[in-house]
Amino acid sequence: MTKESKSGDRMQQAMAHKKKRSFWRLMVMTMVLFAGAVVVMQLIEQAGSDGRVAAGDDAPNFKLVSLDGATMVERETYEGKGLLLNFWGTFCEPCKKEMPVVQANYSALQDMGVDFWAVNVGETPLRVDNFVNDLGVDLDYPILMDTRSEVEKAYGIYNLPVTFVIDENGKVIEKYEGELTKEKLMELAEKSL
Amino acid sequence: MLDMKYDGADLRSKRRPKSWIDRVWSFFASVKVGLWLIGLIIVGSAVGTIFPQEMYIPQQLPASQYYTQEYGTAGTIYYSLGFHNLYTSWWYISLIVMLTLSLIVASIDRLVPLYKALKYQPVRRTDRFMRGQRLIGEGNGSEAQIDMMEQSLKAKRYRVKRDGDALLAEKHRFGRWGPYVNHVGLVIFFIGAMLRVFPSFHVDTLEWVREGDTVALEATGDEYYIRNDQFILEMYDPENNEEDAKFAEAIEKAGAVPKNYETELTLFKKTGTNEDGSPRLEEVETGSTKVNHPFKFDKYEVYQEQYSSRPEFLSMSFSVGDKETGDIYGPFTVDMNDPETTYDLGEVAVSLRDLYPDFEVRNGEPDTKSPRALNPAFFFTVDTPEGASESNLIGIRMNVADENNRYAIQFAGTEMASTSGLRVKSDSTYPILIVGGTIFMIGIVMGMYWPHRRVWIRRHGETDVLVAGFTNKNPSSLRREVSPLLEKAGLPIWEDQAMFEKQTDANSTNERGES
Repeated sequence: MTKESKSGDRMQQAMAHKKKRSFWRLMVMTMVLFAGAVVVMQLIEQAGSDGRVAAGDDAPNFKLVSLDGATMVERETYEGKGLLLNFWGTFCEPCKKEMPVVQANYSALQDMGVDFWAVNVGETPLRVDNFVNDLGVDLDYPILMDTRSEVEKAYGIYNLPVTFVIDENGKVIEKYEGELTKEKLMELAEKSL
Repeated sequence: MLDMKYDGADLRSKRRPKSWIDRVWSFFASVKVGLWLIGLIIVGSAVGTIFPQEMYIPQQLPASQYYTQEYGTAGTIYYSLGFHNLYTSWWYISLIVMLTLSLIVASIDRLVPLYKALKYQPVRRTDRFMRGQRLIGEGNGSEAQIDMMEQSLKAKRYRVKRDGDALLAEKHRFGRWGPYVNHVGLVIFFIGAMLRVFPSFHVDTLEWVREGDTVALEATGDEYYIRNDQFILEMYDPENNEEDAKFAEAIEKAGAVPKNYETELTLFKKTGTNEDGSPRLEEVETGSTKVNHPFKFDKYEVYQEQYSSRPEFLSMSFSVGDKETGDIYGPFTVDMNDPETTYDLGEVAVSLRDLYPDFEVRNGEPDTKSPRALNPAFFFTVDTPEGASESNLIGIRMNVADENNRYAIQFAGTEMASTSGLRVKSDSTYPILIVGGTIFMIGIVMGMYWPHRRVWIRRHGETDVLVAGFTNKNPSSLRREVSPLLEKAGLPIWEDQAMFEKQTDANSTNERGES
């Protein structure tokens, strides 16, 4: 063998060695960075879900009895197209103001295939009953009694009133915090379809 | 003098990078980059202590509003950069990931060539190499003297290799692996820290449980429920307790001092769902949690952390007095959560018309501020035997009733409930953190207490002998150890070159920091 072909061999060996090394370097770095990316993704996902239901989440299921005790509704068995899930309390002024507005437009909502459920947060039927009677308007839409505040907790309610726009697949389209006006109500109903 | 870091081995990353893989590798292999990352992590951690972390802020406000409201613009910036949840903010974790990568890459980059250089080191070194060592001696000597030296070095537990008239004695080479063992420990520690992000490894939630209430524990994925049977708040009582009397003076100064916070609780496991949607619960055990003495179940721990300073009313009892006859009817009890509306007391019947759990007067009307029974007021009517109906509005230190009423409603008692704040935790990363920390410490000890020492001796010319020594730590100690042996063998005594030349630090400012 000549001297030159020997050094050529060695060159080839060195090249192969280098290639192998590059491969391992890439492997090590990719693995660490990939693991890191998984952790960061998990973090970002958690930052979005701080125990409060928000747009894009699945609406947690619940079963509640209406104020008059006559009907029980369950989110999962709801068969309409869209659903506006409202949380309210008798102690909340804007809640009081929005109720006649919702009542005035309730039949329009029903025509669209959208129902409106008003969940009271942890009050006694006595208090809610008095409040509704004092309102001066007959409410046709269901007032649901979350007496143990379990649904309130499941949805992570902070401010009242709050209205969740839920589509027919049970996905939350929007979370609206604040008093409902006629325009806002119809806008949310449209979105739920 | 020679640069003996990594035994003069050629660091891969120092070669001219060719491909982008090599460039990225070199970046992370750089000690300067590693130090920058550590610096940034330290600065970030420090900034994170300026305002409280999210878990320590009051629960009433969402964090997005709290920081702005409490600290203004600085608070807004603090919140938006994720400092309120520092250890789980994306950028903090990214820095840790990069540091981890830097540790791994830098270790591989240094360990592999260093290992090879030490494994295949020749016994006979060049003249230049020997003279490049810090400890160097030259003078008359023979091979017989070198043989004698071999024996005395062995007695000092050196591992001696010979190559003719050349000698290499070495000990504590494993001390050189200390930094890398240390890095392995750190990497394991970081892995443990990063696993904390996943709920299956680490959860930590605060649950507010009122006495008598049963709540689902979010940390357990609602698999377990806890009922607060009783919340106990004990104060130091120097007057009635002999033991506490010792602290009487201090307690007088500080006012009431709590001695014990404790929640007696019952643990339930959810076994299914009832017809009405409520969970079907099976009692597991009862126990209690005190400060620093958590209640443990499954892989979870329940800590007594907080309590609400305003107890809620569970029920209130009243009696009805006949002002004419002096007869007392009752008492009857109103359950705040599920009140009856009529109470038949024989002669008279009381109707509960309304109940304001947190009473206030709004727009001239009785109303409630919240659904919590903090300051309840009751609107009763008393149906008299004559068929009349008398109204009463009763609250705490309030009794609004017509003076001509025949019947008066009086308080007969209350049942209150405190609310206990329990922290439910589970952390399966502790073993990983402990293993990582232990390896870290082993690495430090290895590197600290076992300096790598080497002695080279070889003939130089016809009559002369060269003696050189290397250690990565504490050269004077190597000198003290070996010089007497040299003396005994009659070999030239070495000198510390660095004592005369003040130039040794020239190399340490460059990239090859000892790591």
